[in-house]
Amino acid sequence: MKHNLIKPFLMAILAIFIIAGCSKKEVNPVAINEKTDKCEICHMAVKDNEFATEIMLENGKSMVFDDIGCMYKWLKENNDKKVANSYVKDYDSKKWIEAEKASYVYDKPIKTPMAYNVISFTDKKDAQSFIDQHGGSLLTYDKLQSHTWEKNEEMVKEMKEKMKMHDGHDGHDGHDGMDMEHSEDSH
Amino acid sequence: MRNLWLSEWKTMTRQRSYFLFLILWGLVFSLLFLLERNNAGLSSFTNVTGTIVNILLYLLPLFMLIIGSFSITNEMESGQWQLLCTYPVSIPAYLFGKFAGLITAQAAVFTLSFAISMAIGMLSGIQLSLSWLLGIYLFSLLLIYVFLILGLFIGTVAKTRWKALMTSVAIWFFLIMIWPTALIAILGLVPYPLIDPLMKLAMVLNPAEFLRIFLIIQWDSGAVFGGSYDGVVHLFQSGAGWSILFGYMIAYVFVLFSLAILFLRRRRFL
Amino acid sequence: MKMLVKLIFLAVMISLLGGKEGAAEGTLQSQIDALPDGAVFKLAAGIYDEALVLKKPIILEGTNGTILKVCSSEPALSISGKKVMVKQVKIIGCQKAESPAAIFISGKQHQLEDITVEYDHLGLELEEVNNSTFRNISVTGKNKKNGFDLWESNHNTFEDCRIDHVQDGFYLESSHNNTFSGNTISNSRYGLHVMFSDYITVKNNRSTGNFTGAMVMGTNYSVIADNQLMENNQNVNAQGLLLYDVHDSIINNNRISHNRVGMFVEDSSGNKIKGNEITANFIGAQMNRIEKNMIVGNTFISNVNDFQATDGTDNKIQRNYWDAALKLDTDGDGKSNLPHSADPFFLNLARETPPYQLFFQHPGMTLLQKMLKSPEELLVTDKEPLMNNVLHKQQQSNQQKPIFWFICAAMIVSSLLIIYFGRKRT
Repeated sequence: MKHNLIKPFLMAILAIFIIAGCSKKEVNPVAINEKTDKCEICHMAVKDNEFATEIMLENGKSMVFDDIGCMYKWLKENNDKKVANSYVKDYDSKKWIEAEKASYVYDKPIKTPMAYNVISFTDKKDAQSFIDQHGGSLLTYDKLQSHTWEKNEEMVKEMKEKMKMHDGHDGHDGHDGMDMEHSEDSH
Repeated sequence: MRNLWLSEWKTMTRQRSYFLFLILWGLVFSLLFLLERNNAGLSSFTNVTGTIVNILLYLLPLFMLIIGSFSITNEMESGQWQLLCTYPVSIPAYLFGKFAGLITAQAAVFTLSFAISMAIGMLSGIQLSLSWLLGIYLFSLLLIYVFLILGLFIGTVAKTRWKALMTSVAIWFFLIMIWPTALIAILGLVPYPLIDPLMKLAMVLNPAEFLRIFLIIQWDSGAVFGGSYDGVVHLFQSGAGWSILFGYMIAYVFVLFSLAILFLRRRRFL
Repeated sequence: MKMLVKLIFLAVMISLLGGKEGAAEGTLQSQIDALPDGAVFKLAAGIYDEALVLKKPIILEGTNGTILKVCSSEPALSISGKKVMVKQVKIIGCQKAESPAAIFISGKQHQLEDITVEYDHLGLELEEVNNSTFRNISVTGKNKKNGFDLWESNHNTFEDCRIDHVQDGFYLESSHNNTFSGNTISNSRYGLHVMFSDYITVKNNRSTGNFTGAMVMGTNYSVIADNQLMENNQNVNAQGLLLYDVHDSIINNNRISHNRVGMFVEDSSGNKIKGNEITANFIGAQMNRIEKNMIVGNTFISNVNDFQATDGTDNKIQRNYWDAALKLDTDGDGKSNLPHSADPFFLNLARETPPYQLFFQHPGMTLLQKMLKSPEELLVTDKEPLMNNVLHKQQQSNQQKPIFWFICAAMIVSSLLIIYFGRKRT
């Protein structure tokens, strides 16, 4: 009687491993569920838009990020994890593309969820035409690895300095200084 | 079957140990409701709720497993079973009669002590929310139902009372105490994408877990389980939730009793 | 700066009866353009289907029943320049896929009061707005776009606004020195969403039934005090207050109740978290990578799990009241000798493998936690928890419910009957 029970149990375990073995090595990005997915780094809800990115680990775990910058922050903090592949979205079609094959545009006036100001394109031509229209600098995947990932905060810092300076003064004129344009870097 | 039910119910209520349960449950709930004093009528999922649910999960399944399994092995050992076999009683009738008698007796004593504790709690000025109490009460009744069935099933498999006790304790320990540890250990071996479906499967296989999660979700607190269970939470909270519970209970009794009947048939002709 | 022109009262009465679409000649705008600075333009009750542009310091005043309808690709109201004042106007939208904001504002020293916006898209869009005041504004949406959207807008005040069913109640990015008080945000994604904005003051606001009560990210020197963040517990990622990348800020005397996670803090330093009442949340507080924060004098009551934390360095965590802590006071100083530690195990487990979150408060989990005790030095610990709760406790009225006694009696009688008949000899 005991043996009758053990056999199917072992078979079931075996089956699990066989299924698992077969389903390996096929890495595909998982669709974003806007209601339940949050960015692994900054904890904001991830919208299924052109800024979303995704990392697939080799064990099959997927993680989503709301900004390319957040993804790179995760990669930097977790370089011991084995990444199978990473994906970004095409800016125009909002479809997944492999991060390695994408072209990137960095420009400070580009608003992204976490203000890293980098967007991605499938086609280099699309990226170039975006730059022609709006300005910015083209980054390849390799160049992106050495990108500094500064949040658009320099002006914040400058402003802080200004505010401190104005603290003693009337402060009224200082407000105009705060309207500083964020286009200083655009071409 | 009716006679079996009556006899089981009557023997239970006439045992002195039966009234020990009255004292035990009365004491446990009076103390637990006393904890609620600091919560001022909160009816949601709080630390007191969590504690009560956990204590119920520690106590009820163990007792019900032992009571259920003993009620059969007792008769096996005393020879009553052999006597019964000479009567024209079908095995399903025997099982269901026994089960009906047991659950009548156990639910009655549980209800009595629960209601007394409720009254004591109210009289001592503790604000208790009615929906909260009824939720806990229903959860307890379902636990009694589920683990009495499992106990009866163990009774049909175990040869002696001693073995029945050991099996009951082992199963209780596995399903309640060591369940997360065991699952985490086993699921550590499977690839990551399988963990999520297997966790859901495990939830259905372990009735204590199923009831616990169902209760927490009905308490509007399913969000605590995180993104993986959003679908489950919505399913249980939707109109279909209660019918799923009902279906689960029916399926559960059907599967376990079919197996139990099979085992008893074999033993009858031994 | 131009001199302020004396107020000239120019009452422009346009009598329109309900239902009639107004100003077919498109005269509203031309009338406004013709006004001198500082004039008052009164709009009678009625529905106006014209996008208005206010560029100079005038006062637009509606009455009860003044409705602006947004049907063009322009906002119902576009405000720029300075010292524009708008009072008592209701804005409704006729919805299109790509609709603009109901009100678009830039410039400074504006004042908006008693405005109702019922609109599926963005409510009020503020771009580079300074020193303006927004009072008693009600925004109702369909959870698609933000109620208020601030971009590079500083020194503004938002008071007594009610926001319901929008994406984010207040979204502010790179907008400093703004003050929010007495606002109510409900049934939205994030009540308040602060991004890269410093010197923010958030006081006496109420945020309920949202995914997250207040999502505070990337801020320095802000004050979050006396707010009520309640019942943000329906979403799987819900929390009362989230602090991410928050530094040198003060979080005081907030009431954080019935949320999924009461207070979530990550990558934050130098904050003073004091006197907050964190009650009846599923998880009281969750903290990750926190440094040099002061967490003192808070109360944690009735949370299913009061504290989960990892990676704390140099924090000053003491004299909080934890109802779950074991307390022992041998020297009578009101502080317990036993430290109360946060549990790091479950947090790490569920972060690595989110499906294991199902084991939350599982009866067997406590066993596992005890078996795998983390080393003392890695724990985030309150070194001297308080013996007694010093914060006031809210009292609820005691209602004696007859139905309660009825059910109680029914349970006792029926079970007694069953037992009685069981014992009766037949």
